[in-house]
Amino acid sequence: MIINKQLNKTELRQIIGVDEYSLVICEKSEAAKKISEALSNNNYKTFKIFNIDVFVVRYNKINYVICSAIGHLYNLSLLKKRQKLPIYDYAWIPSKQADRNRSRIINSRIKVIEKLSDHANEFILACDLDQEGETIGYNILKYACNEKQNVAKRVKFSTLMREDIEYAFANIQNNININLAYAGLTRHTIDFLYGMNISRALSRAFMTSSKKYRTLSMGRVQGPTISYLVENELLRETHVPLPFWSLDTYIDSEKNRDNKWIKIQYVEQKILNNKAAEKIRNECRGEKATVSRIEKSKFKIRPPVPFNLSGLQKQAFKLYKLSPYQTLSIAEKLYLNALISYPRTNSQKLPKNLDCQRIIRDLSKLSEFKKVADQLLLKKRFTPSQGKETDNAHPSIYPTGKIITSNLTDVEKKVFNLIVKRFLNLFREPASGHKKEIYFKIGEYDFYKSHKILTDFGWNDDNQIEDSDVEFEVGDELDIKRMNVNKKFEEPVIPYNQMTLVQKMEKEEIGTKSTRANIIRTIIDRMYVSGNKLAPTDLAKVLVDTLSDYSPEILSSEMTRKMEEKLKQIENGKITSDQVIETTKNDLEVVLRSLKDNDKNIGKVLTSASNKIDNKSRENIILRKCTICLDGTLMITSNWKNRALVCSRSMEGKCTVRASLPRSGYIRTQKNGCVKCSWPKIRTTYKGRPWSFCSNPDCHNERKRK
Amino acid sequence: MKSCKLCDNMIENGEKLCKSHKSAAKNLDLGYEIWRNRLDFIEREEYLKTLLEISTTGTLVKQVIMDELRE
Repeated sequence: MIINKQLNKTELRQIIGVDEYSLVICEKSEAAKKISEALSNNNYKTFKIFNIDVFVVRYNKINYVICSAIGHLYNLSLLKKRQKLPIYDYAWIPSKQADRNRSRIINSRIKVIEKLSDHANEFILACDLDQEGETIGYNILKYACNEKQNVAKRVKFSTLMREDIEYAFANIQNNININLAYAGLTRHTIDFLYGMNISRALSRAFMTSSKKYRTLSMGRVQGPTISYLVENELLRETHVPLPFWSLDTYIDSEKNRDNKWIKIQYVEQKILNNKAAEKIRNECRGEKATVSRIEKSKFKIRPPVPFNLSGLQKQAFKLYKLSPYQTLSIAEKLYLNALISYPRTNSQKLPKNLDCQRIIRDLSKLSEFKKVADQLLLKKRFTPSQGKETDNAHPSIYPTGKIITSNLTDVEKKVFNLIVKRFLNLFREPASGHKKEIYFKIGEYDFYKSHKILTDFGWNDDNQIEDSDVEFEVGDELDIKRMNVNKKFEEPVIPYNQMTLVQKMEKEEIGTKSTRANIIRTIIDRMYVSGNKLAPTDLAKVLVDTLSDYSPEILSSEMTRKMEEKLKQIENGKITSDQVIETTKNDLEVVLRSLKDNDKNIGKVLTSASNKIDNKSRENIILRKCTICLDGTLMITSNWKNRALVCSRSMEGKCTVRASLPRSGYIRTQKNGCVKCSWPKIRTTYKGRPWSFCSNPDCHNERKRK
Repeated sequence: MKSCKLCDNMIENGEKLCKSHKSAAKNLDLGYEIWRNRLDFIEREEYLKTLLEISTTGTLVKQVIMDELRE
């Protein structure tokens, strides 16, 4: 049934079919559907009010009306558009999005929740169990449900499996975690204050100097993150390679069954003097390598620990080159399909009461894991390997045992398989083997070779690479086949990629597990970095350089880390949100004063860096031969704002092709020109769909989307 | 404010190079001491020319070298 009109109480009762109900608020529509399925054993009623799905179920003699948000329905926004810095007038209002369609959906959802809340006799929050989930729920209860945040109840679950949801509804908490919500609200407020004030101060400085507008965003977490990239790049750009030498030595013996010579190493891997290296080689010439000592030891490689979010992101990046943001999005989809537990977690521990045997049995139905799962099911006890990290809200990421993956894409299946494989490996035996270090004496110099051989592969059966072993005995004499002195140079630091940057942010304790991937995306969108290796642009370098002179606090991890500690204190009820916001305002005023005092200098350097970027993007892209003059070349010329298609001969006045192009999207020209006017035909994409049109603005051949 | 001898960045009064190029020049001098020790001896010019040929030498260092060799 689809309803798109204002409803009074009687009409609403007629539609829903129940007089009294508890209103359940979820974070996403998929979660609302899963909860409805779980509570009603797939026997739920569904309605569309303002085109938004609402579910009605009866469970344990209670009627539940289940509705959903779409992430944050309310955002912080300025009360007045034009304000002098510092800006402190703000309020939570319905989210305004650049995409009008999304804004419409948000408004519809708010209207539906408002309408349903009018007649509800109980409110239950079922958003994700973390700071963001509590914040989303708090705002909905406060603004859409008319101040119900203090009376609402809370259900807690880590997977969308039926048993977990039933357990959660049988153990409903009497209150939402109000302190967690306050911490979330404070985080948003601080980020808003920093972002809005500092970004505006920088943009204004730029505008005063260049008379142009450019968004120069800088935030509380963004600042230190950009500064890591710039510092790392500076280390690379100022790197002076220092020389060292190594002795590459090869020996051979009758005992060696391979035809290859055996490579041994001098005890000092880096020899720091050219003549010293030459001296060793000269003195070893003509000598034999004598086995002087053999050291044997056993080693074990324990199974890996359960995935937390960063562990999963790291592995997905390593194996499939998925960015942290992509992995998070995929993991969220898997969670909403009830395939895995909640992914935004720090924990590396499985829940104590988890029925591991049942999950392994379910996973054994997957052909690729059948062998391993069947072996595990023969075990009497299931003791998983556990990590150190913990999370109060959620356990580590684990598969729920649901295996219907037909609606998943290939890459989603890959991530799912990664989680399943890791889960099964937790219960497997450690890999073991022995390590052998053989020491050789050549003249008076010591060399060695080390072997690591796995005798029992255990969980590590993917890496069955065996190092060839030669049975030497002390006193054996071997021929030296070759000894080279190699000159090498020390390498510069490795540039960050998206994964190593997330790890750095995690190490420095800035941002949260949920926000780090998004912050990196913003940095890329704002043109502070370019390329996969996240090379900082001139703009980022200048920004960091300038801010380190005038407001180093913005770039400091220390300030961000302290703020995170304060947010934790709010969560624990030790300090209030107002105290933290007041301190933030005081800190901000110092920063803004310094930026204002130096805005001429700051504007000048930012303008110069921005011009450099614009000049780079102005470089022409050559396409193909012009379809009008058949002599010139078609090119895309651009500045930072607009793009145009021009013929190379139009600059000499010998061709007329000159037309504006869409500002974004990949541009191609078709081989044949327009049928009516012969002007080049352009092919691009519009909102993901291919679109081809004639570039001639005067052509009457209508611009059509294919 | 004047700009750096090797790029457009602003410099402080009395300086010739911006902060980044100054840091590159400092590393270049420190590096020369280490190269001299490790090779027992190397002429400054040869040191600079060798660094120019190594791919991992930093771009700012190479700019400082080019400038020094020009002079």
